[in-house]
Amino acid sequence: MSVLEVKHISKSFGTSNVLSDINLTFEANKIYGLLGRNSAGKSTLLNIITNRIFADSGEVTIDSENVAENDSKLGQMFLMSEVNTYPAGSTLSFIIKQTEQLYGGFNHQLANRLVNEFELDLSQKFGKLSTGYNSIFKLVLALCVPVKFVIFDEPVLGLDANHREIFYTELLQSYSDTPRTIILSTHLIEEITQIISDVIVIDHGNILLDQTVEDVLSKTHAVAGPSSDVNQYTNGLNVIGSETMGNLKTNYVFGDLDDRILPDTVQLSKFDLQKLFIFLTTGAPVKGGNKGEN
Amino acid sequence: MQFKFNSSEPIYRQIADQIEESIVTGGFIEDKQIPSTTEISKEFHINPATVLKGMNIVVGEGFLEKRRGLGMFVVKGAREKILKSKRDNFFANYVIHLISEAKNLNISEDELIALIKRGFSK
Amino acid sequence: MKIRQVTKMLLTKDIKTLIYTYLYTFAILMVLPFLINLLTGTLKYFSFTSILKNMPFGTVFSIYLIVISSISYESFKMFIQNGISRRTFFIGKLSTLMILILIGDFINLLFGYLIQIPLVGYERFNLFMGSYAGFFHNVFASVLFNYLMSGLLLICLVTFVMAFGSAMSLLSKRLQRLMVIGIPIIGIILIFIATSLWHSMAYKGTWMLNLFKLVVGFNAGNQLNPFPLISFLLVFSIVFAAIARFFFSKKQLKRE
Repeated sequence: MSVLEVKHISKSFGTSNVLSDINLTFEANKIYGLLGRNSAGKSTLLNIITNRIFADSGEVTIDSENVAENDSKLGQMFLMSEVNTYPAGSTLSFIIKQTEQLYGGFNHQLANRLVNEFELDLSQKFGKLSTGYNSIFKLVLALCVPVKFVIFDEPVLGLDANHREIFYTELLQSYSDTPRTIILSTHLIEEITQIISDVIVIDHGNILLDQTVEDVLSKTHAVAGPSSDVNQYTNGLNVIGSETMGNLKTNYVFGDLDDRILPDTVQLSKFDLQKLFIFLTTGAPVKGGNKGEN
Repeated sequence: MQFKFNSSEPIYRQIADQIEESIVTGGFIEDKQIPSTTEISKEFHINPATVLKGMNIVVGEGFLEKRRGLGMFVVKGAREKILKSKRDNFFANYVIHLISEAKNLNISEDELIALIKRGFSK
Repeated sequence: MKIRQVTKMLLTKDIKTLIYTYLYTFAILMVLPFLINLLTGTLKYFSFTSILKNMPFGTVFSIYLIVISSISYESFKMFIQNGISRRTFFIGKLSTLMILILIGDFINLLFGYLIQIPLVGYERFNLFMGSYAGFFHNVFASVLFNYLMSGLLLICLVTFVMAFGSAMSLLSKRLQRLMVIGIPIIGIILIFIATSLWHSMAYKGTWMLNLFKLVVGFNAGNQLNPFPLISFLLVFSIVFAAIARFFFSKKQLKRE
């Protein structure tokens, strides 16, 4: 049971602060969702975790041992990323062979099944792949290497709906067969909400959220009804967004409701992770005002 | 099975409900195996731990049993028990809502009873 | 250990390139003139031995080494993707180059001793044969030290290029291009200054000349001693290997 820890990681490029004192713990055999808007710092963080680039300060450890320049620890992680790290002139089967030699193993049975399902031609050169098949090939590698931490940065980039379906299904099958820690960094929040058990939201280099999905969703409350009643009811609560239509208003609350009495005119329901994400990361400080219409 | 991913009901609770529902409708048959956690997880793209949590609720209620090395099986007599508990909860789950909605619409007790009778005669 | 896998992987790739390099050299310098002479009916002017004598296997091998030791970023990307540390990559790369030098140096000497000397009577086929061979009176010792000194020269070349190349690869593409244009120009200017300085100092017995004499093993007799040079080459390679190691440890994935 291995634990991956990110401790006090900071990183800036030139004058812009990309990550500020990030602390995270990835426990064994859980599926994490790492969410953030473009250039929120996700890829930088993942590159630092896998020692591809250096942090300005802080460290990344697996089971309390620093991963930097550490073959045995680096060999326990696989990062599937947008950046092409393989030689364009190599054939896919050659890359698989090299990957197997360097990671000391490869699940060929699963690879064969995936190659069939995705209709991937392994005799192709890596540089000749389309965006979709480029992602697919890297997904196959990620799922078949014997590591404890599989990290996906934009796994479904360029994949059509059918291929995404295959990916999620195979990811869950592979996870059930060989439990390991999985980190999914993606913009398609709705597609992974039920797959992940924990969600991390990163924005402007800071962690906004790091909790189980169940806890997060239990704290979402959409309060709808006549404007004045809704405002009165949510007064003092953590309102992160709202929508108005005529005299009807919905205030989106993130946090626990206290014992206050719900007026008959006001209705309570939940809202989903994607909506929560949008409200949390839309930038301008959120007041009870009308901002849902733009 | 179907799930409402933005319902106020947590997914594991929905899984438990759906399993019970399937037992009632005959989708899952008594003394027979139900799909594994992995199968349900794959089919609906739900985290296996969540599926397991839902299943364990049903196990706790005594409608499913784990047979070692084989999987989850529907307990004999489970259907009848679920039906009974659903009947017991019928008033709380449906009647109260029905009456409160009727009051909102100014439907009187007699009118409501007439409507229910009409529904039965269809 | 992953060093073995990394070395094996790099070696397989580089040996393939080496074989192609030799084949192309042979084809261009030997087969092509032969075919041209054959087609134009001037075969009587084709001299197998004179071409063989001038076959630049040594130079070709050196150029090949410069090319493969200067390139490291592509391999770095692939290795870090597969969880291989910079340290392991460096050791693997250095080991690969050492093994290649063992092979290439052997081929060079084989060519010199077995073809250039007996077939075309060309005895001064490398630095050692030109300047130091007379120091040894035992043939085996001479051959052995030839192998050693030629190998060391190549190791110096490789560590120097590795240090330089890995430092370059840390720069952005634009800076790299600037350096590629700028360095030869600066180099030529420096050589120009150095030679003019050299001419003005050469006969004055300056410390630079003395140092040079010491390094090349000049002594009162007319036979150069190879051991000072061998020691110098050894120190040079170690220093530049250390510099290369330092720059390898700074490698990062670039933002594309």
